[in-house]
Parts: sequence; C-alpha cells; structure tokens
Amino acid sequence: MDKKKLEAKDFITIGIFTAILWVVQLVIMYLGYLSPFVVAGYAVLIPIVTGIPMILYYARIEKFGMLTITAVIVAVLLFIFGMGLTGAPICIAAGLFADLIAKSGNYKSKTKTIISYGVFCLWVSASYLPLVITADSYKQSLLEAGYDAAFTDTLFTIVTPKTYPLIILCCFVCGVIGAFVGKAVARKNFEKAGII
Amino acid sequence: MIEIKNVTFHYAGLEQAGLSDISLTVPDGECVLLCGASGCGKTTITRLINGLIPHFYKGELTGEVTVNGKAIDKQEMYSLAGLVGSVFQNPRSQFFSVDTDGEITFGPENIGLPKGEILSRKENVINDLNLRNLMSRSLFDLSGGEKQKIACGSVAALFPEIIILDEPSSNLDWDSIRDLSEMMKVWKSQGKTVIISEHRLWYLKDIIDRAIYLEKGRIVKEWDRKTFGLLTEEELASYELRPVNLEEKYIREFSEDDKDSIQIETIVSKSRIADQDAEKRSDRVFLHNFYFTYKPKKYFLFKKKITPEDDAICNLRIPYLETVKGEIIGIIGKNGSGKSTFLRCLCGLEKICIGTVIVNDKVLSGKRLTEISYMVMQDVNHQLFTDSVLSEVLLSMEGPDEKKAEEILKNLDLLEYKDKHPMALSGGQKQRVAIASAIAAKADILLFDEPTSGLDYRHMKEVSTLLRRLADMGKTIFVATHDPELCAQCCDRIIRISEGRAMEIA
Amino acid sequence: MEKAVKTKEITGWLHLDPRTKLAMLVLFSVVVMIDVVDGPAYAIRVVMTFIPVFLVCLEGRVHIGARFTLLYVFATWLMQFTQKNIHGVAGMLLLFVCYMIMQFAPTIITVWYCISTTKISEFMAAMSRIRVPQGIAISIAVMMRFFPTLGEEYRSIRDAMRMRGISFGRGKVTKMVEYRLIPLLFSTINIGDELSQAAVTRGLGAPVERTNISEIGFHARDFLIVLVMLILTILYVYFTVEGGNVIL
Repeated sequence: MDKKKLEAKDFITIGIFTAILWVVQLVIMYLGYLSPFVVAGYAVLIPIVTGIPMILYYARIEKFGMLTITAVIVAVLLFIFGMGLTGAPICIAAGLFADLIAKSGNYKSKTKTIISYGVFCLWVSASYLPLVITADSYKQSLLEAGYDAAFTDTLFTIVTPKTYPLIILCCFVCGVIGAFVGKAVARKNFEKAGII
Repeated sequence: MIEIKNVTFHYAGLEQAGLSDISLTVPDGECVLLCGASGCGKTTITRLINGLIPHFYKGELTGEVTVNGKAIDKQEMYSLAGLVGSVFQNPRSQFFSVDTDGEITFGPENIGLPKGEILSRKENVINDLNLRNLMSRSLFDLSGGEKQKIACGSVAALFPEIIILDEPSSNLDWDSIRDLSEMMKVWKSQGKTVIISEHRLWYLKDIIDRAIYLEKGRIVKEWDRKTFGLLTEEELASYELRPVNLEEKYIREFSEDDKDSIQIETIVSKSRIADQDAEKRSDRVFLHNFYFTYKPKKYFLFKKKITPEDDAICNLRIPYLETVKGEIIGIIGKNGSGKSTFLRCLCGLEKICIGTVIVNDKVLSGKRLTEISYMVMQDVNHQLFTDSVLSEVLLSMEGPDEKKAEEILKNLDLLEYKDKHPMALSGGQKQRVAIASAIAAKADILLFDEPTSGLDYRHMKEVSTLLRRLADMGKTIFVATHDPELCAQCCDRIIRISEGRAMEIA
Repeated sequence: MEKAVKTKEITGWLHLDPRTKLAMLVLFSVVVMIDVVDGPAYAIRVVMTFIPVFLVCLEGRVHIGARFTLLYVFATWLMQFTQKNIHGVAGMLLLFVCYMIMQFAPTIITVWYCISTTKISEFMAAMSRIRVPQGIAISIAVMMRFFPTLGEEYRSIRDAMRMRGISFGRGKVTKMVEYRLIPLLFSTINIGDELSQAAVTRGLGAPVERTNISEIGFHARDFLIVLVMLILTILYVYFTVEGGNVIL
C-alpha cells in the first residue's frame, strides 16, 4: 500500500504542520517585538526551533510535494504579511529544492533529510529580502520615524546586500543545526514513544 | 450484508493486540454491539468494516472482509464513503469545517453529489435527527455532546447503509447519551445496519439486536437482546463488563429531577470557620467564596475579581463547602454546569476567582492554591512533559530525590516503566504518572476531571481503588464525573452542580 | 447557565465573497510592504487600515473594532510622544514596539476578519473557482480550522505547566521551549490522525469534481470594497513614488 502520490490524509497533515511552522515562526517574530536585535537573529532562531516540528513532519509523510506545498503556503502568508513578492519565489524555490533533495534520499536518508531541511530554511532569508533591496529608503523611513541613527546603522551593517549571502549561509547552517536538534528530540521523544 | 471471514490482523510496529481468526456475519438492518475490555479488538473490527484497515492502519491482514459483496481491501476509501459511515470517539477532532452547516454537507460535497440533492439530504438529516437548533453555529462553541450530534448528522447525510460507532459516548454527559441513543433508534427504524463498539452498555440494551463479546482478539460469546438485558450484575462482572441496568437512583441523580437534594448553605461568615474548634479545624478542608464568571467586567488591561456581590452574573457560585480530609467527593452535573470550572478555580487556574481554601489553618487563595492542589486533566496527554516516567516525577519535586521518586512509582505500580516514555504508556498508566507527579509535588487536594471517560470496567475499578488509596493517604479528592458506577464505587459524598450552584445529594 | 457561551453565527450579514477578502488581503499587503510616515500617502494608509476595522464593526464585533482603534491611536500618540521626549535605548524600544503595532496590527486584524467570517465550504468553493488545486485548498482549509485548535491545546498545556510551576522551565530557555512544543506536537499528531480518519471515511479526496453548495458570487458591495481598496492602493503607490520611495 505504498502509494507515492499525496492523498487526502497527507494534505491534512501538510495543513497541520504548516500551521505549526507558521505559528512557531510567528511567536519568534513576536519576540522581535521585545528587542530589535532579535530581528537580526531570526536567521538563527527560526531554523533551529522549527527544526523540531519539521523533522517530525519529514517522518510523517515521506512523499514528494509535501515541502513544496508547505513552501507555497508560507510564501502566500509572507506575502500577506508584507514580506513582498520578491521573497515569495525564493521561498517556493527553497521548498522545491528541499523536496527534490529529500526525494533523492527517498525521505529515509538521514544526511539527505538534514541537507534538505537546511535548504528549506532558506525561506527565512526571504523575509529579509525587502529589507535588503529597499535598504536606503527603509533606513530613511526608520530615521524619519525617529530611530536612533546608531541603531539603524547597526541593523543595516548586519543586513545589507553585501551580507545577504552570509544571511543565506547562516539560514542554511542553522537549518542543519536545527535538523540535528530535531533528530535528537525525535529520538528522545517521538521514537521512544513509538509514534514514528 | 457484512461478512468477515477468518480474519487475522496485527498492527504494524505495534504490540497492540490485533485480531485472530475472527468470523462474523451481520445481515442488513441488524444492530450489533461489540463489547469487551480495552484492547480486546472491538475497535479493530470496526476498522475492518469502514476500511481504515488496511487503507489507514498498516499491518498483516489475512482473511476476507466484504460489505455487500465488495471486498473492502480492493475498494478505495472514497468509494466506501457512501456505503459505510463512521462516528468516532473524540468529538473535538472529527470535524473538518468550522460551522455546523458545512459539516453536515461535507461528505456529500466530497463525493460530488448534485447541489439540489445535497440540500434535500441536509433537510432530511436535520429533521430526522432533530438538529435544527444546532444549525448556523460555530463548531468551536459547541459542547462535546452537541459536536457528537453534528458528527452523527454529518455521517448520516451520506445516506450510508451501515453506520459504525466507535465508543461514541466516552466524552458525553447523561443527556447527550440519551440523544445519541435516540439517533441510533432513528437509524434502526430506517433499516440501517448499526455496529457499535462501547463500554457503557445501559443505554444500548433496548436498541441492539445482538451483543458480541470479545477477548484478546477473539469472539468468545454472543447474546441476543433479551438474554443480554437479563444478565445479572455478577455475570457481567465476571466478563468485566459494565452494568446493563442502572439503578433508578443514579438516573434520578444525574437527570436533575431529584427533589431530595439540599442546597448547600449560601451565606457563611469567615469568623464561623475560625470559630470551629481546633481539633475540627485540623482535619478539615474549608472552601470559601468560590465565585466565577466567563464574562467578567473588563477594565482596560485587567479583569475585575469576582466577589459574592456579583452572584447574578456568575457561572459558578459556591460560597462555602466543608470537607473532611481523606474524603472522596464526587461532583456531577451536566456538561457546562460548572463542574470543570469549579475544579479549575480550586487549583488556582482562574485568576479572577477570589475563592480561598483553608487547610491546616493556612488560608490559601489564587496562585498559592496551585501549591496544595493538583488536577489530573481529562486529556492527560497535556500534562506530561518529559521523556521518561522517572524524570516526570523528579520534575515535580523541589529537590530531585531519585529514591523517593522510585518509591512513589512503586506505590502506583509504575516502577517497571520508569525509563519508558510517558506517551508510550496506556491511558490508565499515563493517568497514574500524572498522579505520581502530584504526590511528588506534595499536593493535599487532588482533582480529577472525568478520570473514567472511555474506560472499561476493569480500568474503572482500578481507578476507583486507586482513588480510595489516595484518600487513605489523607488526600482530599474531588472527582468531576458522568460515571454513575464510579460514584457508586468510591465516592463518600456526591455534590451536584447545577447552574453553578452546589447541591448535596443525600 | 445552559450554555457556557451563547454562540453567534459565523458569517455576518455582509456575506462578502471569499475572493473579495483575498483581494483585500493582497491589496493591503502592498500597502504594508511600503513604509511611509507622513504626507498624503500616510493618510491613505490610515484610511485603508480602518476599512477592515469598519467591516469588523459592521459584522457586529464593535468591541473588537473599538479596542483596535484605541490601540492604534495610542500607538500613534506614543510614537510621537517618544520622538519628542524620550531618547536613548528606552525610546528606541518604545518606538520599535509602536512601529511593529502600526505595521502589523492592521494586517492581523484584516487576516482575522477574513478567517473568522469565512466558512470552510465557502473557502473551498472560492479556491476551486480560482483554480487552486484541490490538495492545496484542503491543506489551507485544514490550517484555518487548525489555528483555533492549536490555541485550545496550547491553553491546556499552559494550564498544566502553571499547575506544576514549570511555566518558566525552571530557568532554562531550552526547557521552556521543550515543555511547550513537545506536548503540543504529541497532541497534534493525535488530532491529525483522528481528523484524517474522520475526513477520509467521509469521502475526502474522491477523484470526482467536488460539489460546493455555498453560494458565492460578487455583489455590489464586493465591487464597491474592491474598487475603493484598489483606488486607494493606486493612489498610495503613486504618492510614495512621488515621495521618492522605492517600489518593490
């Protein structure tokens, strides 16, 4: 009974895990309310924390298309929340590539899953993109809004077109770390409890 | 006609009992009860018929299952939808829509029936099952019983010939169970085949045509309706089944038309508690001023605390309650009457409740209540946090003491599982883990919210013995329950909460 | 008390087409994407912010609209106050909070409005009209249904943590996350399985054209709202370009 195509129950699982992914990342975003510096830390925090539900998600479906659909939905949500059209294609591409990598390992290979999740995490970098592209006008508007020049400078030395590749790398590396964390948590909890 | 021929099944990767060599034929229009202890295989049989085995649950399956001559394993799930309908145990997780109308039409929409047909079916179902007053509502605002009714309606709208119910009454109160049995009667009169797997038997005795008793995956015994209704309590107990006939007394108590109950005193001054002599004070627990409302007056950021003066708007109004330490107090009442609210207030989870508990001359309220009281929730999964039973207990201790933790576990027959993951245990064992952590936290007042929902006879008995043991340890125990058998087995006092007020039942 | 909470109808009397709501969300996100702090564009932004608030009030949830308005006005005032009077790190933090409120609160209330007034069947109907594959529509519908469930589950877990005094993970951040996330995931898996079973036994995923009995369609009010939003968005973009802001 190993069907390789997504069925109704898989679409339900996709919906549920995408909801969790979004809620978890939204909670981390809210932490950004507390300190502007957390904003720069999204690239670290989001991949690591969402690693836990996502590794479980990988184990629950193991069929091609799961990550792509998740990425499409996340892209739509990002768009609605004002992260822009520019971010959406990156997000979808990340999902598609992650899906392809995981598929090449039949969703069973541990290494492929970890790399795949690292790639998937590149969607996080998409949310920085508007910040990078419109850096000047964005900085201007922050200054006009009364932000300290020192603060905006710090923010924009961390996030600039030049450091953007670094942010992407950071997302990937933290994604890999997140995958290891997720694997460890899964072994400690979900495997031990016998549900995967 | 349903035919199961020599079926043996084992769940893949699970030790969970499957079925061995089951043969069963159910002619059209028959109503069959599947009973037996947890894990006896009754749910597995329902899954054979609705196709969840082999399409959802994987495992080794031999033998043949046919419905109306069609082999289930050769059919796709969606082609079975119009033939076999299923109502499940948990009302919260079986709806797809967020509104009641959408839920009724969900099935027919899925299988692509024409619009006019769907609308006429919807009308049909609403009339047959008496669902009119539940239409146009949000499913999230319904009670468990109401959700279960909608689930029945949703299944019925597919006009299946066979309806399967898997422990549908587990989370329901007395009135909702009655509604459920009315629905089953309607289905029977329409000539549908009804298969029900259930622990609670009393509401089924006039509906079923045949009862089948399973043990360890085998069919052991069969009764027809007449002999089933005549089984004595001793006979049932020997099969570890719950009573078929309930005493009139409980029916009265639970249906709220009992005239003998006494309203608990309404006005009690604080001084009265202090006036009690010291000896009496030391072995009692006093509850004072438990008032609560779901709609408190709101200030910009704060919610107003609720005092006795707000009586008119309150959902819970218990001015005074006195109990002896080591007493088990059963709390009964309809869903939504305020039972769970009372428990939540009692363990300090509702911030706006000003209720105080006086124990050992200490006056505790608000947050400090959580130090002396502990609630075992209905869904115990929510209160297990760690990756082993032992660390779960250690987490509750002030200073981790492994020796002591092991002693507690030993007392609760959990020692052999100490390194297992709490989520890998059975429902009853999980409950005991939660109790173990309550004991480790040195809670004096233990609160149980529906501890026996969905439990079979043996486990229900185990719970009642356990509660008695805890009471003997000096814990004061409050049990909110719909289970008359549990009340009969272990409660020292029964209090009924109705519209937020407490009545003592003599 | 017969029912704990007297329930209300899900969709108000406005009955906007889900596609109208979608258009509203898209247009609104364009506005959120581009930042302005003053000038005519800012005025348009404020007007557009209050369109969904107005709709929320029209649907009978005046208290929510009022609370949002209060928050928004307060944030605006606080922002100006801070700019003039408070400097340094404290001022910056305050500014950031105000900025976030003014940036995201409008989106959140719009999203909330759209979700809370849309029935799943209406949503499925709209998705099939705009030719979104059924699988993706199912996933999104499940998400919409699952957010409130996640909230319920989380509240139970939080209560349980409070009872055991581990809300702050005994001082460890990792534990704080772990104690929330792990039980939540366990519940999620159970609910997901049960939901899937209930859905597939009722024919979800049948390879036939799904019927949608919900009456959806554009009415005058839909056109009016989309038109107003569209004009405002175009004006907004125009003014920001004038003002030298870069467009994405």
